[in-house]
Amino acid sequence: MTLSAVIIILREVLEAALVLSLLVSTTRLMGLSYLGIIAGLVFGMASAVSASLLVGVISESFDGVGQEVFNAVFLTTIVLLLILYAAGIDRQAATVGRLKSLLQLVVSCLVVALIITREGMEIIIFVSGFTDSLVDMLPVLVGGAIGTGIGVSLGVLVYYGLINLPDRLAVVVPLLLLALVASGMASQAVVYLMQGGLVESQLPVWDSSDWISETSVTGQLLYAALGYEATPTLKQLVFYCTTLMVFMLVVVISRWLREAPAVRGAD
Amino acid sequence: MKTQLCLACVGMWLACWIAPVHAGVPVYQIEIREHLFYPAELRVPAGQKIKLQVINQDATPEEFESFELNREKVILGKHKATIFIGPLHPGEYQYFGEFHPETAQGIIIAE
Repeated sequence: MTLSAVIIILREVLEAALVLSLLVSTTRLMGLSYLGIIAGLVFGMASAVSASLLVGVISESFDGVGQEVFNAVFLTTIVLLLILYAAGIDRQAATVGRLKSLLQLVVSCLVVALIITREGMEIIIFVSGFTDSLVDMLPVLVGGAIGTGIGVSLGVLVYYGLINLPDRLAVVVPLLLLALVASGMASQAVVYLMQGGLVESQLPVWDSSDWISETSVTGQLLYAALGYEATPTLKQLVFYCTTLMVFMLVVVISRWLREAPAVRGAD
Repeated sequence: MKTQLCLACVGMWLACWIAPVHAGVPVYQIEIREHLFYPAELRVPAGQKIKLQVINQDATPEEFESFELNREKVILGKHKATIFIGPLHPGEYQYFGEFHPETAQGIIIAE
């Protein structure tokens, strides 16, 4: 039981830890306050508890596919917020204006809260299944602690990797990683809609499970970072690529808009 | 005229994505009892959409999970869940209960 608890908790924690490390490192890069992220953690934990209590109601809504609707809406919202967040990333952001700093604060708070709600809810439901006896509960708690430890450590590792990047990569790499994470989430949102029968599913375009199985450690890490799937459908690929392009386009345009007045001012 | 044509195209494109019609979709049931799936081996037709009804008879929650099918769904104790799968290529697709993977293992065979 301990091992499966390690795996399940690690899978949930890993996804949240990766996004958090990206947000913390960019917040540091921009010289912004960490308040948004901390508030997001607190709100997220509270709302994960509420969501886990409401999961029965959520599941039975929308003709029994409420969970799928809930997940798809959550993921889409996170993707949109990440795009908005990335659009504001700039070295000089802290000096640009208080309004923008406030906006970044709110956006990062919401992203963190939503991610913690999604992952935390599942952890709470999992653990709640073992509350009847201490004999069952103990290995789950031990496994959970180990899983959390590994997940958080990986997040910290990514964070230190990112903040120690050479100057010219310091902005590009976190943005690229955020773009990939967002694209993976968009593709995942489509899967939920297919699972709920709300979007017509398709035969997968390819099967790369012989190369990289989704059950392998590499597969799991790639899933958390890139949204890797061994058997994606065309609709997932369309959403993945569209999100990636929109993300990049928004970042490029927002940077161009910020730099344009500065150039004009210099003339 | 051009606008109408464009709207019609967009409408048709959207219709391709939204699939509210579930009439005629075959329904299959899987039960969870004592952290085991019944039947542990389920045969379904390949190449078409299938509606799975997973009934959790246990008092504890379980998560239906399958990497091969790209599906995951939490099912609370004494609850049932609807999961659409397919169309599938002929072959074997493993699934498991993520909360009790030691015992809760099953396979769906598309043929």
